[in-house]
Amino acid sequence: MKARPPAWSRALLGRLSSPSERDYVLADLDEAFARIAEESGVAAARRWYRGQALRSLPLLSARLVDLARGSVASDLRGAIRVARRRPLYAAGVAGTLGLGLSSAIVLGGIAWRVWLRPLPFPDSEQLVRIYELGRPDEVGARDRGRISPPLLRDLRETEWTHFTGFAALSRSSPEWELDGELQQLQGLEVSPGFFDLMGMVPLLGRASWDSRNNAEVPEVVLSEAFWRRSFGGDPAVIERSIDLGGRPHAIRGVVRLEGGYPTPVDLLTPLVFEDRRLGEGMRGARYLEVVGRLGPQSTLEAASAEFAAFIEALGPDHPMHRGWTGEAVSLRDDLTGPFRDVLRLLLAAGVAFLALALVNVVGLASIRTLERRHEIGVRLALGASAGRVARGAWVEGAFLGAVGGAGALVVALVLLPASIDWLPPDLARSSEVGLSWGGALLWWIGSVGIGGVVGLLGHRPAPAHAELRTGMRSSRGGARGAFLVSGQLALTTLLVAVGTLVFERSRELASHDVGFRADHVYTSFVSLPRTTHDDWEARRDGWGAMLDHLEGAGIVAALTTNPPMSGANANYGFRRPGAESESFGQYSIVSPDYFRVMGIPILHGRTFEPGEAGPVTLISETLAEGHFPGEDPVGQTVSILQEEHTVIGVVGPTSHFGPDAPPPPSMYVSFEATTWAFAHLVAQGEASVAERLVDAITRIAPGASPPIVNPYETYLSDWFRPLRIQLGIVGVLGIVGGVLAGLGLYTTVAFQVRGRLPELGIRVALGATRGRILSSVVRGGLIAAGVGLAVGLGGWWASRGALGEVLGTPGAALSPSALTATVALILVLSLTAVALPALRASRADPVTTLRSG
Amino acid sequence: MGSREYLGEFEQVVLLALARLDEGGHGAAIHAEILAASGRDVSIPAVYVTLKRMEGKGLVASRVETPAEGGRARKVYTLLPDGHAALLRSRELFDRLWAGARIRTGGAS
Repeated sequence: MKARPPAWSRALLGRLSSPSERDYVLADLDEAFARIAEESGVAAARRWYRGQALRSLPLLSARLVDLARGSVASDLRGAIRVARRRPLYAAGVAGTLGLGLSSAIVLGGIAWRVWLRPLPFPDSEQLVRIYELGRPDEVGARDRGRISPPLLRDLRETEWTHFTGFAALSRSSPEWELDGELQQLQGLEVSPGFFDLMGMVPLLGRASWDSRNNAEVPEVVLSEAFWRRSFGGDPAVIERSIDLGGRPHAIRGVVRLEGGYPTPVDLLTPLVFEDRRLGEGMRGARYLEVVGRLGPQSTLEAASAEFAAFIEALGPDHPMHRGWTGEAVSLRDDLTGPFRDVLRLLLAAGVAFLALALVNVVGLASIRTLERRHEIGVRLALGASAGRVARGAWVEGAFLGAVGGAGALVVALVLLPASIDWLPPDLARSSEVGLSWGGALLWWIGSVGIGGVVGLLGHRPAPAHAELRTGMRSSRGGARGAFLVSGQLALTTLLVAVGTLVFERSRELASHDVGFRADHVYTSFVSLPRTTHDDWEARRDGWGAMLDHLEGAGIVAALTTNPPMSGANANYGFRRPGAESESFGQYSIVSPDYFRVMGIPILHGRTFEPGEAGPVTLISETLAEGHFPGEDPVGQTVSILQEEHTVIGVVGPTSHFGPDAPPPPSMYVSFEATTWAFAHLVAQGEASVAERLVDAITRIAPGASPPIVNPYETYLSDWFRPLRIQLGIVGVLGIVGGVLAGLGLYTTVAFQVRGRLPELGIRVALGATRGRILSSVVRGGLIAAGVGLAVGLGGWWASRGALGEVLGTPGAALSPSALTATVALILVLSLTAVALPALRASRADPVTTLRSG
Repeated sequence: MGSREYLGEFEQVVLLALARLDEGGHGAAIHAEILAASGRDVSIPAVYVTLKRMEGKGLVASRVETPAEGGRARKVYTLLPDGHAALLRSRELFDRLWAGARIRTGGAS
């Protein structure tokens, strides 16, 4: 029996040779194989043959290049020809792919950069923020509180199973005296171990505090940005000294602050507590931001449960913790703050729109395959292989994917950087949103691949022929198309419903009475320089001089430490004499004209007299009704921070946390009695007041941070921003979803009409009127739309609870007008999408359709 | 091929083997010649790819021959004058380089 070369090696060698040489190469190999078999035996010849296959593998790349130059290039030319001849089809496919891809790149890109991308620290997923959770209110919700200094001490002195350590941060505004000029800097006080816990490596020097010398030599670590800006990036800065608040501080190192945490500052100093800050009375001063690191094997759930149990166990011994619990949350998640649900929505929408776009492109490609059935049949009959025809479809899809992907990238490269302005500035990492060139290239390659696969999926000559023969009405393809369209319309319905909910909610909240006036009120946060205002009297005189200066200019101004809806939150304990337990409310230190400036009505009693420094207080109506029911509170006493205060007046309630939260009980004490180093200056008047405020601040407190004056309405618009963003997102998603659903409905109905043309032709020949055919096609489309509408509204009904929670609208109830608008919008969209194929069906010519069918 | 262009190492091997075959040769003959002269077992498909490229550059010509005794057709290559010139140019280059090169033959000292 004649020896044969190994079959696989022979097949491979054949493939590796160019078609024009293939026969000669194989013949030569056979000849050499026969010679070696004769000389050295069959086994040696087979070994040699396999060796030839291995040695020829490098030719693979050359063959691929040949292929690309040859047949793929001709397919590509074919795809370009299609785009020229059928520009609407090509634009539909490329545009739909571009829409889906740009949604995925932009929406997914924002969610990735702002939320999902790991923080730039080692094992960053083990970093957590911890919070104390307040007593539950009447609906069981708990306020989140930070950590007080005594609690931080307790945390650090405890042996933990799931935490390896904790570190605290607190904002500071150190003053830097340089050449006689005072500058207020952005600082951060961080507790010992902070740098180690985060895993921050210094660029220069060291990132740690020298605990032994702490009291004698104050230390500072500079941020890289400040080091470059103020010291020109001089490496010799280490161990030099910088004068902060009148004291020289030794510069220990330089660190890079990036990745959104902690918020970029100029420098970091050690966080140390005097003994009085660690007393029992300070357990309610929950102002420290605390981060923890989980053990390598610990989960967030286990750590959170351990921390909650720890806080709950403090209750019996420490009244300030009674009824409180705690939670640990992922630091990465926590940085997204109230915007996490919005980001989740963005991510889901990005994925969903890409999926919907792909489904629709498959639909469009299927219609095209149907239209080309004769041409494909001829090509197959002429000897083209099914694989060759499929490759043509792949190349056509890949080409349109490349065009759509390029368009999507242009949109993304414009929209992503622009979204930085549009995203809330208090959303950490929002400034990092963007698209790298590497990422763009990957997306583009991905879009070419996706286009190719979608082109292949749409290319189904056999089923298409089968559908033609059997008619579309009952075919599985038609049913699948209708199902997909109904799904898309259901999603659009849900988006429209959510959009109307958010819109109605915004309108309702905007018209809500917040209990104070924000128009024609200007505000500036002022921090008196400690160097010149280091004691109580100096501060009191400083604030007094500032108000007098403004009064002299004819401006009604006032001071407050805790303005409503500004984000400030001073939740302090108070107790009516004889009350069993302490209650909590908003504590503000204000000057006499505060209520006048802010338009908060004094319902009963009076405001502070100028210079009134006694232990007196004004309380809000909410506090009065809750704690003095049916009584006149004026003249009675209430204990605030363990000191008895006489109530001298009752003022109107203010929505301290925004119009969606009930006004908290509030208490106000006089600036003359307890003067702080910082306050918000508020003044009434027209825009020119802003200049006067700046003038007063710089005149009375030179060296205070450069004053920034804003209309008070800025606080309100900041508060409404997440809601506006939500509305904007839902609006855009609704439009994109509507376009995709409309396109989906159009392609499905057009596909069905195309398949039914012979049947429609016969019906026309048998006397069916155009109107009847038109209405039958429209009816079919509207049934799919009706199903989508019903499912979408069902989805809204089923998810009312969750939607209400996310949107802050309990029950997520749609008003009759919102419901009508939703239904009308979906019906108009569906009718528009169905109109074109229905008209085409009604014009079916029996002779032409029967001849070509 | 421009006068400044030189042959690659494998191109030289293939063309030299072809030059050793008086009547030209097909892939298997060239492969056998390289094996006999140098002991190097090269890939036959690679020989064809190289010859095709050389043919494109006008260094070799090919013709299809059917053996008189029957059997499969063969593609037989012959070296053209430009092929000879290219080989000589490559050799001159190496000769010039070798002339000035100080190569230690006794290993590193």
